[in-house]
Amino acid sequence: MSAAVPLQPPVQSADRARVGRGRSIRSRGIVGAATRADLPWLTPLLLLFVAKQLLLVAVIGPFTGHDEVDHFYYIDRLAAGEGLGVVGEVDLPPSTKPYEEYVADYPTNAEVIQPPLYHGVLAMAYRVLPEDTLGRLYALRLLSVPLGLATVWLAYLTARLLFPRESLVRVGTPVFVALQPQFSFEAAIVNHDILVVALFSLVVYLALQGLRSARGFRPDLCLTIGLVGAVGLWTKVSFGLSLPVVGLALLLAAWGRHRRWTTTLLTLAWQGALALAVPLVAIMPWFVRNQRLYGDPTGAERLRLIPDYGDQASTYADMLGSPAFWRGRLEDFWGNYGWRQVPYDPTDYRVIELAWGVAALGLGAILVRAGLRRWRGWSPTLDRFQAQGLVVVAASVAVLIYGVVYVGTIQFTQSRFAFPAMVGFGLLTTVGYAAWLPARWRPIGVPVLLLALLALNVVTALRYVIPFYFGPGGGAVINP
Amino acid sequence: MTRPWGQWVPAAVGAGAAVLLLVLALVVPLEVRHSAPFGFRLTLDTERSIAVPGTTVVANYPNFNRVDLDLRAFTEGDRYDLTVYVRPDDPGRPNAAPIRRIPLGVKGDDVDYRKPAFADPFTTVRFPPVADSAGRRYYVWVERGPATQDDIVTLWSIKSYSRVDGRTVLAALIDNPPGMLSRVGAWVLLGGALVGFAAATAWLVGVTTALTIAAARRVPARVGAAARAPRGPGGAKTAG
Repeated sequence: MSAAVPLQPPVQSADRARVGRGRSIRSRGIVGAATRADLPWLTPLLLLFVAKQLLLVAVIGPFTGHDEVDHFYYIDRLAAGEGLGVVGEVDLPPSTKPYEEYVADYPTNAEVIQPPLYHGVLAMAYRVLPEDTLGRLYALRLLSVPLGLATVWLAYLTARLLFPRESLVRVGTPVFVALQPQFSFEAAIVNHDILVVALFSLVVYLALQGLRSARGFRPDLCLTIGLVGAVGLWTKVSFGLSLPVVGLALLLAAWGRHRRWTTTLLTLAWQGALALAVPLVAIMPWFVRNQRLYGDPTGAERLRLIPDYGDQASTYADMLGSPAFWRGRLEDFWGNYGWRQVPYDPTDYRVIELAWGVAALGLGAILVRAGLRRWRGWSPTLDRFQAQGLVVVAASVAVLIYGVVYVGTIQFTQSRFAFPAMVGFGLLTTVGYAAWLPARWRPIGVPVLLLALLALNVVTALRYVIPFYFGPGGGAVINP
Repeated sequence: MTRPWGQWVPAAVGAGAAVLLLVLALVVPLEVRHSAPFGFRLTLDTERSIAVPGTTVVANYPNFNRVDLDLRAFTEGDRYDLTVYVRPDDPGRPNAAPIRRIPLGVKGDDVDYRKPAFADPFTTVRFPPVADSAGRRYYVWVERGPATQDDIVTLWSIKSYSRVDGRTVLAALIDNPPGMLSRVGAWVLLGGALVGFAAATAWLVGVTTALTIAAARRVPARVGAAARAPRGPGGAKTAG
């Protein structure tokens, strides 16, 4: 079985020597971390991403991104100095009537339940834009593109950190993220989710750096993680799902260094205070406000009251045991544009799922092989940092999938709630594919993956997205 | 031999991939789905609150050539003989004659009302393209054949498609530019995006092909040894 071919070790001896002297990759800075050798493919990938995103910004019908009406008018409200507002009491302007189908709780703005960091920052840009609603919408959409670009960059850095010598993983992961259709959709609309994706990717990358560094999680790194966590929580409360991932990385690093519970716990105490307590303390005023207004810190219970959405809440058992639920989530993950109004055809979904299933089987093969090798006492397939890194990345995917299911217990749920782990999805996918190819031939997987995803994007645009919005018979679904 | 493999082949593969992708995107006809919320039109007659065996579809483009029918049988027949009709839905001509009549035989198992979660609920029906369909409305309905008259077969929803090339799709975007864009602006945006897309694709595919060739020709000895001896103690060594 080709899965028996080991993945490449993460660092060469020269790199290790540098790390040993206390110079981690971090010391060269995020931008400087890209090697000269990678710029020839990173540059066109980033250009391709930008070209695609500009087209998507223009093509996707106005206010048809998920919750885009609500987010836009939340920004408008803050720009006008009207305050945060209370769910159920803030009405959308009458001009939004044509987009009623794209609003969760029309005519009120349910998104004012969200922490205001993203909206507050965009409100500053909003104020300096010309007073034209559509013009402002498209301008704000453009601000999502750099956030998507940053995520693609972080995907590269993360993959490079874990598997610098595996080109299928190092190149394939950012390619996957840049060309994943629904991530592209997120990075072309007005929605705080794209900031959450970028920040979550940054936290996971920083956590992996702490794991890799010979000096472990230094105070400055822990504080950086904590501050990013605080910014993330003030962007969306669900960013709290990053905390267990960070906690796991801290635990793995501390246990690996000390191998004794007492010193491990002591180390975890100060590291946790910086990386985990700082964001929790920082978000406390928002939690207190929610508790006072809605009766719970996150405000989630208030969302249950939204008609049609809360009615679709289900139980964990019902969701986990339902093939239709998982089919829906797979479909959400890959292709539901225009707030689910523009899905792929079932055949397309099945082809994608089949191709993705191959990667999942590859991951399974790696796990089985790792278990067997450990049992037989043979040398491991992955080195310790790679194994721990993959555990952390897999944990980031797992907690966000849990988040998707958790939301399903409150209201109608969607796969996009797992998108903050998009880098993890991309990394695990390419590692899964790498498992099936002999080391010598793995690089051929890069152009294959690239062309497959490019073809998917072209077909998506021509068969589904553009025809939904444009053409003599189209457009009516947006502006009745 | 190093130069051609090292430079010209990746460049040729990159340029070829970009050209091929553009040709496929712009010239080769695709079956493009017409605009409808969630992709389909329900057959529910909302005025009478009853399900009816047909509904109106609006063709986005010329060459309307396909409908996908979500058929559901509530009786246990082996096979159902149906006929699909397509007629113009013109308020001025309420009794317009069908322009397409397509006999359809479906297996009972394929249209059972209890469809598995991952099954495609739709039955595809293709017919000779309606050339001048762009922007027109059509009423599509299903009738049961003589042998199926007593069976309960319903139609839940319809998807419709046109067989057109990418240029037709993009032309529709330029004719009705998004947002505040003028037609010229749409041309510039679309042209720029296509040129950028093609150039970046050629560059990216070229570089990744070069990576592949380099890896295939010059694999570090230790990695090669690891690849050849993956099993057993002392086989595959990894750092760390």
